[in-house]
Amino acid sequence: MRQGVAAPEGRYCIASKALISWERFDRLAGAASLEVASNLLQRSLDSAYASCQRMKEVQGNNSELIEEAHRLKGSVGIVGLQRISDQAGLIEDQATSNADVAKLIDELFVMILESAREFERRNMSR
Amino acid sequence: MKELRTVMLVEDDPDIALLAQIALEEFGNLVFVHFFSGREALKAVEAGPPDMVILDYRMPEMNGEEVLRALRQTNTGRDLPVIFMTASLMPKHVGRLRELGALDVIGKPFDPLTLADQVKEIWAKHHRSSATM
Repeated sequence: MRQGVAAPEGRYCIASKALISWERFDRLAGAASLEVASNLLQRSLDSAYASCQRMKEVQGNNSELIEEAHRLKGSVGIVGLQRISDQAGLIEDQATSNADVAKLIDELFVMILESAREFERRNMSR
Repeated sequence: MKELRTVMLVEDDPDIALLAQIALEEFGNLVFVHFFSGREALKAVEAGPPDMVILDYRMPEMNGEEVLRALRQTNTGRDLPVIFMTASLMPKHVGRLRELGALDVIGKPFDPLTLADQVKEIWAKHHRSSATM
């Protein structure tokens, strides 16, 4: 018999992914411009932060929480915020199964801050 | 084959709409028209239809499925090529959207650098299959 509580499906995959897909970012910067790509990434980070705050506010209202997580999953990955996108998908799935997602939202918050720091570090090193 | 020129996006999220605009206008040289709701888009289609419509699935008021159904009731939108854009890519859901008459389904998050190519490929495929019918 298996002991303990299994981690929700997909969690190990999320942790092994890069916070930001620089490959996608660089392609976007090459095709448009560094300024455009940077603005889009910053806008997505701001939007993810606001979305995470909303998720905290609507905890207990599953339909609003699922809606918010679904929206975030579909938007931030476009500019390469892969791990945030995957975490939002996990929150959506778990909330759909009526599981407690408070810890996942906290993790999402940390991921957003870490992604913002990584973006800042990269900007400073240029 | 008629060249794809004007693409209308119906999407309630301004961030996604901006990224799609860059993807389709800058990288795809397409004329991009955007509406935040199905109701606005339906009015615009009646006034002058685009070549193709990309519909977000989850939207307040009217979801993408409702917009497509309403579109099919209009003279200008009856045969308009429609693509869905959704973060729900479960085969059952995708199959349902195709049954409703969508040409194809593009997953979110999309790659802004390849979105225009994807849309153009769907357009070309649609014309190839229409020509053989």
